Amino acid sequence: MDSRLRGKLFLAFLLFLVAIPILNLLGQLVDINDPKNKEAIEYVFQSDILLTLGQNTVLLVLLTTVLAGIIGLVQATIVKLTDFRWSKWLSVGFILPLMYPLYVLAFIYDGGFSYSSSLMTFLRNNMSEGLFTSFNTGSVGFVAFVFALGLSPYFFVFFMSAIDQVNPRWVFAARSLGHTPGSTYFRLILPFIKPWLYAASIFVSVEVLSDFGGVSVFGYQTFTLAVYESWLSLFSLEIAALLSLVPLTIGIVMFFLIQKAKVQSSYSRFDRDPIVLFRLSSKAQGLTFLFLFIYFSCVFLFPMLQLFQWFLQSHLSQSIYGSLELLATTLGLGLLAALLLVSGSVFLIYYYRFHMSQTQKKWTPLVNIGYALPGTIVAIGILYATRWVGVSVSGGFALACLLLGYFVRFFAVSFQMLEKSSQRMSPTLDWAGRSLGEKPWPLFTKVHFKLLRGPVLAASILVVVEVIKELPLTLILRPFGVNTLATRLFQFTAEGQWEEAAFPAMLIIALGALSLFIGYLGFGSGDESA
Amino acid sequence: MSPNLNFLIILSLLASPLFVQAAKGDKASTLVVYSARKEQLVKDIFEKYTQETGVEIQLKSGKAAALIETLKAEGSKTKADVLLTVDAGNLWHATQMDLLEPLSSKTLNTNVPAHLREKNGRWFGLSVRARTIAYNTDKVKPEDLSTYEDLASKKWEGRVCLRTSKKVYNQSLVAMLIHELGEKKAKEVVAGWVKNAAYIYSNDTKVLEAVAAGQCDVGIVNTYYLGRLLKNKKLPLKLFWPNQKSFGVHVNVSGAGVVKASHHKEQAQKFLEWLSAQEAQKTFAQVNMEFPVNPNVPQSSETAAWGTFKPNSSFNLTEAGRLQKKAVLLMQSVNYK
Repeated sequence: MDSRLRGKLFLAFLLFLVAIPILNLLGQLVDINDPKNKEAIEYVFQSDILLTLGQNTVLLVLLTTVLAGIIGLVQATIVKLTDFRWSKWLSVGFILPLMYPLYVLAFIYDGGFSYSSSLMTFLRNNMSEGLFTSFNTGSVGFVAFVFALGLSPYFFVFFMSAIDQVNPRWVFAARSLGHTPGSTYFRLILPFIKPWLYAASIFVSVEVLSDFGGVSVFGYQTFTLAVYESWLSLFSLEIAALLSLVPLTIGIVMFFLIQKAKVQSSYSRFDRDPIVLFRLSSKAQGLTFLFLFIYFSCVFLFPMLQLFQWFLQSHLSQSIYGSLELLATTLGLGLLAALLLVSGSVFLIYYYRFHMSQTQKKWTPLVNIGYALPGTIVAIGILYATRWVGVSVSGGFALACLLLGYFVRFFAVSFQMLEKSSQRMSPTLDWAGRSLGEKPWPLFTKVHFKLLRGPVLAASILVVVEVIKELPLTLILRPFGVNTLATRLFQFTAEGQWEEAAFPAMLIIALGALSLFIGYLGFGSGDESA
Repeated sequence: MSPNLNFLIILSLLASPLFVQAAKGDKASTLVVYSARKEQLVKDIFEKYTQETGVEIQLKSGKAAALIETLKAEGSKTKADVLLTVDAGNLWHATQMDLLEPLSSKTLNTNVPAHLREKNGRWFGLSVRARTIAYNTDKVKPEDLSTYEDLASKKWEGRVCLRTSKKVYNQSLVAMLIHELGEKKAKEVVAGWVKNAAYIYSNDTKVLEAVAAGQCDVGIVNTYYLGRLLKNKKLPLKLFWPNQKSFGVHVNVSGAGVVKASHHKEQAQKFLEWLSAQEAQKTFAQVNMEFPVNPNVPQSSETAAWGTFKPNSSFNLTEAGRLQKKAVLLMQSVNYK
């Protein structure tokens, strides 16, 4: 078979896999006269469920984006535009919250701020009883606050990258023309970084829309949670699928917006001195310290102390032994997924580099679309698809479905990492090899693959960690009896057993930190891009 | 020795491996149980069954919805023999999809009271849990409490903690209220609860902790959550049995049925009979601090300490399933989160 045709078929196959859940959810609309579908449509449109879910979702996305945006902006300003002494350390510290999956941060805050928690009891007894009696952890404000803590690094990274693009001469010119630092900031810097603000907002919105674990801990009803519950409590895959259409459509739109928003999200952390727009007075220094103290207390001190307190209250040996046992299963699942996804990515890179036409290259980014779709929706789409096959979702078939789910969601993680490294290899490398009479595949294995070894390892680890952190897909599609750290954590938090949830959460955070180290500190890829 | 005897000896020697094999086959016979119950709650009792009968139990655990969906998809090819799950609502769904076999077992009919089994014998309750009122002993006197309906009255404003309406336990409770009070009155009651709610929590443990901490004075919970909580902590909490002068306390079950497509129906039925008998009932209920379904089996000392109560035995739990959707819509209509 001609290599070009093989490349075409391979790309078509990957796109087909990605399309399975999407087309199956959309396809249900065709069979609108099916009595079960009719019943589902009646249920969804008779009740005001769409309105409630829509309002809740929009409100949460907006509030989280605004809060995370403000935090990210303050952080980037401190690091890049002031003479604050420790800004280089802060540039690492500010991205660390990404090590928490949202559901971990959510359960720490939900448990830690619940009425009967030690913290709230202390606050009620020693401070304002009224204020802390009516405190509501399920309110949109609190949920958005916790989500913003976890997601502000997206804004931080994008703003850092944006300010990097500001030419110091423009600032100098503005200042020479008599603009104060404040007016330079508001009239020059902020308008300049708008495209990055826009891009970061899309990323954060996608994360909020995709979240299932966090909102389920808080009992805050959004589409992803309603989809899961319709399937689980109403036993209706039809209602679940129907409700899925909303987040599915939004996810697809967001994906194309991300493709369009071609701003750079890489920034130099160490090489470049900041543009010192603001020289901090001692009062301003004090305020900065106060902000840092509050921020780091919220993202590190409180979560870590709370987890540790619960951990000590848990059945220690049972908790540690149980979690380590789960870790083995979870790692096995992750490695299997990594093998599949990374080898798929390597082949795609090969075909992309040597055998694809320009049109095919244009289609390639579509394989990444699943990353913008919530795991719950992908899982329901796959469940819906299994009806066509007529095989039960158990045992080996369930495992295959789960791996398909991971493929749809996380192919982008491995492919983009390898693609970035591949792009850095100059095309002259290919021409040189070809002119020496080497055929594409041997050339790829002898030269390119060797250069890709680091990134392949990094991409594999990233996929493993994503699988370990992943919740809704695993929860819905896992074979019977298979539990991961995340699903066990979910079971514990669903029953309010915070103590038992602590150790699995600590393991997940540790793995999250590892993934951050690889993804952001550029291990294996040799760059500092986000 | 006669040639015939020689022949017989040789024949039996030759056949002996087959006997051994056959005996092994009997011993190795297995039942596959699809279970939505937590593994640690059933593992020991299943092992005991294996020790007693030699029948091994293969457990496949999952969420009720996933297990039922799987049974449906597997159809006649399924390896499952028994479906075990919590809440009659879930069992009702399985019967609606025609997945369970009707059994006519004298033992089961004697051991399991009529309102705790499906009338055609397609599922049987195996342990009972009551959904009742828990109160803060520092703030409420038992004489202040009377019925589920009373929690909707003005005197409880801001004093009630609820669990989310998304949980099937509450859906069954509201289904019971619809059955007993009619839809209109049930709606008024549930709307009153929501109005009086200080907070709606995602699980019963949190409701109990909030009641103990004083965020609210009363909460509606499943009994065993209190049992579990008080094992580790000393809290000012007690249970109250409502509606003792009317229909009684709402009870639900964890229960099981034999899978219609099972290839070992007889063996599966024996297994259910064993589970409903004295010996198993004690452990089955005790392990999760539930009540035995078999009226001849005494309660554990922990549950007995909660006192005796009149359960609602006029409400056949099949109705909980039938009315579940109505209950969900009713709760949505009064903004019960």
